[in-house]
Amino acid sequence: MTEPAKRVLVVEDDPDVVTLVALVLEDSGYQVETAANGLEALHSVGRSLPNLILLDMKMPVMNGWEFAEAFYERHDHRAPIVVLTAADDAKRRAGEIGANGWLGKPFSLEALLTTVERHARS
Amino acid sequence: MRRSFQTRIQAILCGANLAFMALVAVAYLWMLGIERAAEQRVTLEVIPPFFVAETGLVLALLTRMLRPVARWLATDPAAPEHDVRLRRAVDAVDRTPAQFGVLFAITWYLFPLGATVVVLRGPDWPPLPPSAVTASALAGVATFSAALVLGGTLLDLLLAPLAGRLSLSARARGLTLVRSGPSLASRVVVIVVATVVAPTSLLAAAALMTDVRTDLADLERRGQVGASEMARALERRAASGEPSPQDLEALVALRSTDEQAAFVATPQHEILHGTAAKHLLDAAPPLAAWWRGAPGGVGAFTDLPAGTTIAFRRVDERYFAGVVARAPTPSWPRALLALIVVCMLTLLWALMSASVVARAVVRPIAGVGAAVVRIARDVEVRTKERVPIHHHDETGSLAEGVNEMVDRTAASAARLRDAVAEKQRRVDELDARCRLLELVVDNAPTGIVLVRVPGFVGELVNRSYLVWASGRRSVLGTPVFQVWPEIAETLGPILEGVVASGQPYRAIDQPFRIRRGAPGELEQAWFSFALVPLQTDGRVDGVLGVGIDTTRQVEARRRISELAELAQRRASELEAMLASMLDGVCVCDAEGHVTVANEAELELFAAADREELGRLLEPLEPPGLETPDGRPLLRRELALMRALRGEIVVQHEAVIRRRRAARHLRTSAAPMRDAQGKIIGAVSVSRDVTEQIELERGKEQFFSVAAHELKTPVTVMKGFAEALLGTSAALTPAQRRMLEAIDRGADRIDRIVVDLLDLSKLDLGRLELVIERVDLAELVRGVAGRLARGWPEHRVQVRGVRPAVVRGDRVRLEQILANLVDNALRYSPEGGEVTVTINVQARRAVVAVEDRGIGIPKAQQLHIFERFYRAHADTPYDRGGMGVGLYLSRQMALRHGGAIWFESVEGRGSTFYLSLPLGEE
Repeated sequence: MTEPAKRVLVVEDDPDVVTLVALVLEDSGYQVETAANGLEALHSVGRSLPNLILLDMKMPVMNGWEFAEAFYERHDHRAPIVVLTAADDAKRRAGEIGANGWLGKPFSLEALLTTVERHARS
Repeated sequence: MRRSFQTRIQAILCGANLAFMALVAVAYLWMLGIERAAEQRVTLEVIPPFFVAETGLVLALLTRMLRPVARWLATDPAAPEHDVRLRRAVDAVDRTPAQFGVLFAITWYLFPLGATVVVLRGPDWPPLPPSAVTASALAGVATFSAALVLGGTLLDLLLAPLAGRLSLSARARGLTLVRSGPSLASRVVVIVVATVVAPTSLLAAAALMTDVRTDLADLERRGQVGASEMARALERRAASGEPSPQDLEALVALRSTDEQAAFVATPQHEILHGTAAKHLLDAAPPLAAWWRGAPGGVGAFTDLPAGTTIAFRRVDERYFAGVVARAPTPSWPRALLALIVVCMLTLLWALMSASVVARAVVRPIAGVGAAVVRIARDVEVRTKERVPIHHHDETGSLAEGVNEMVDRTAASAARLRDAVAEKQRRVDELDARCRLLELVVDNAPTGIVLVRVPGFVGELVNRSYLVWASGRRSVLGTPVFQVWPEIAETLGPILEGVVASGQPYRAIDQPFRIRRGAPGELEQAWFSFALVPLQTDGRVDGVLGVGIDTTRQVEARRRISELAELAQRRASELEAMLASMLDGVCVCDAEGHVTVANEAELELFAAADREELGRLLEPLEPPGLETPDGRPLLRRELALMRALRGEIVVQHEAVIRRRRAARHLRTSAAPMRDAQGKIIGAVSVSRDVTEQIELERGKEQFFSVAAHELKTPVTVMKGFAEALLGTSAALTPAQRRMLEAIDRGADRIDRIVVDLLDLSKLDLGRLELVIERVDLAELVRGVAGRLARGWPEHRVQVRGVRPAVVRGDRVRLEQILANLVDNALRYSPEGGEVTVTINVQARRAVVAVEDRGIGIPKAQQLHIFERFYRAHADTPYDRGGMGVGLYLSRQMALRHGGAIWFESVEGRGSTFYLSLPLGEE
């Protein structure tokens, strides 16, 4: 493991989900940062861009749509976004905000890893 | 026609002229007694040029005279100038024969004169005596007369048919013709005179010439013979020596007779002659000078008036010997023969002329007579009986009179005929009308009875009356109240009143009690009738009754009024019902005008009354009406209007914003049709579903939130369980089973949540399908493979065609297939084979999922597609679940235009079928 660990920003208001995702991803060698809402996430990406953003849609303070809009405005598409949602039409939502991928809740851990691996930029 | 008419006349005239010419030439030669061939030839040589010139002139003049006739013949009878031309043609035909006769005669008068001139100029002819000129003038008169009759009559004959035709044509056209031809009397006179004059003058001429001719011939001949004999005698005497004067005297005496005196001229110019010749010689011109100069020594001199001729001959160059001959007495037999021949000719000529005269007089009179006989004999006088008029003379006037009579008689006959025909037509018409009236009376739907006054005895009835009177004796010849005793009391006074007053009586629906069927039973009946008095000489002697039995109508009216009352009641009930309905009801007619609207409807549209509602819906874009997505609702999109076009509208949604917050309407509408199926209006029922929609919206939101809220913890549970199972190898079997149970539980919750969400979407009609081309075979294999992994003790077999492309939502189709296969696996507890077969038939793909499991009990088979129905609940085979899988599958299949059904035997297994329409190639 000579190359540096990829950084994944998990934007999610449910702490249990954050814990689960962080556990699984860190276990697989990713460096995980978390944000409880869009605003926090914006601050986070402002400091440094992650290799991937896992974005929940329904969040307090600033939801996924608002975050995506602000993010693209400031940083363009310099970090891929994968939508993480409980809605059954996750694919459509991803399309709405121009995200790179999507993952519907509940997801299997295998699916989570596969998706992250596919979309995370080096 | 014009040409043939003229050509014919010209040809005939030419022929006649030629014959006449021959006759005249012969007569002329005979008359002048020209017998020597040379003289005849000279005379006859005059004839051809004269004939040609004369004929040409005559024909040219004739053609000119008849030009009006030719013009008329060439004129169309319809032409305006026809009548004028007709008059001119008649005039020409009338005048031409006489004029032509005169003209013809004049040319022929010139002939003998001309011929005589030629003859007189003959070379060495003896001079003609003055009587020859007179004779030739007389011959001219003869030819003039003959030519006058011949030319006039011939042309008359030739033109007669044309004249007849002209006269008939003129009469048919109603033209009155002025008499323009010569009168019959003058024609007869001319013909008779000419007939007499022609031979007479010829004979006179011939008589004049007879003496001259006979003397001349004989004298000259005898003179020549005498002279020759004298010359020969003198020659014989001179041959024997110089004759002495005695010898010469003896010679002269010897040769002198009573008719002839011989003479000799000596060289000494002494003339020796007998005494008898002395006075003859004295009368002669100075001979000595004349004969000495005579050429060849031969000469003759004839003196006709004196009746002598002197002929001489030179003898022996010295002497002249000759005779003086005297004319002999005429030859009577020869003159007699000539006279007889001339008389015969004259007789023939007279006969011919007489026949012409007779013809001129008799023919028209005979025609008139025949016409009169025909008119007298025939009842039908027609204008074709008219007599053609050939001459406008006395006979012409007679024929004209007859024609007038014919015309008048024909006219009056025609009038009479017309009058008779008209009368007959009227009689026929009256007859037909009478028959028609009889037919009308007899077949009229009203009853008709005619009764005569004393006793009101029936005289005439029609069929409708007989219907009333069925079962009664005939009223004809019987007092009416004997036949109708039961109405005598009511109708009797009325009839008496009509007779007394002479005024008609009319009644509408007058009640009577009459006997219709069984004797003795009286029924209520109504009649509308009129009683009309019939008057003769101002006295009423009969009454005509005309009426109809209105019993049925009266009863029907009563029933109708009852029904109307009932209908009124029903209508008010209906109205009350409509008024009390919560749903808005609106009815419109075929033109779309609102005819009924109940309170609820007015309330919905915030309209004060029906009229306002009508006005509100009138514009193309009714104000305040919108579609659920906020677009203005057009008038033609209204449920009511769509129904008016024949559509049955179910649950049409609209939003109305009128004076208050938006209200949601859900409207159903249907066309109203008459018995023939024609649309006569439409009815709509609208309900205010605002609250319901809000409720639905809330429900949807609830499901959405609930789903989200449920899915997040499921994710956590499932995730951790999986993480634990996957990451830690140090789990005890018991711990592992516990974690697996947590994982399955989370799955079940997830499935329930998904099912509930789908259910709610279906109910709200928000299940959206993403339609694309899907290979069902491939989809089936994928699903079967995925599910089979979860059921290791079962064997899943997939058969059938590939690909089977349909159009549909890949996710939903997969969901259906998964549900079917999952059920098959679930309800085959013993394990075993599940067979999935894909077939394509009749443009549909059919997937059959067959298991050999527990099957479905008959009693439950009817219900398994109902929502929340669980066939195996509370049985050993209860596998849990919401009981919505098959319901959702079937609903989604239906949304794809497909179907799901099954066959099942309890304990033997089930086969579920999914059929979907194939996508286009």
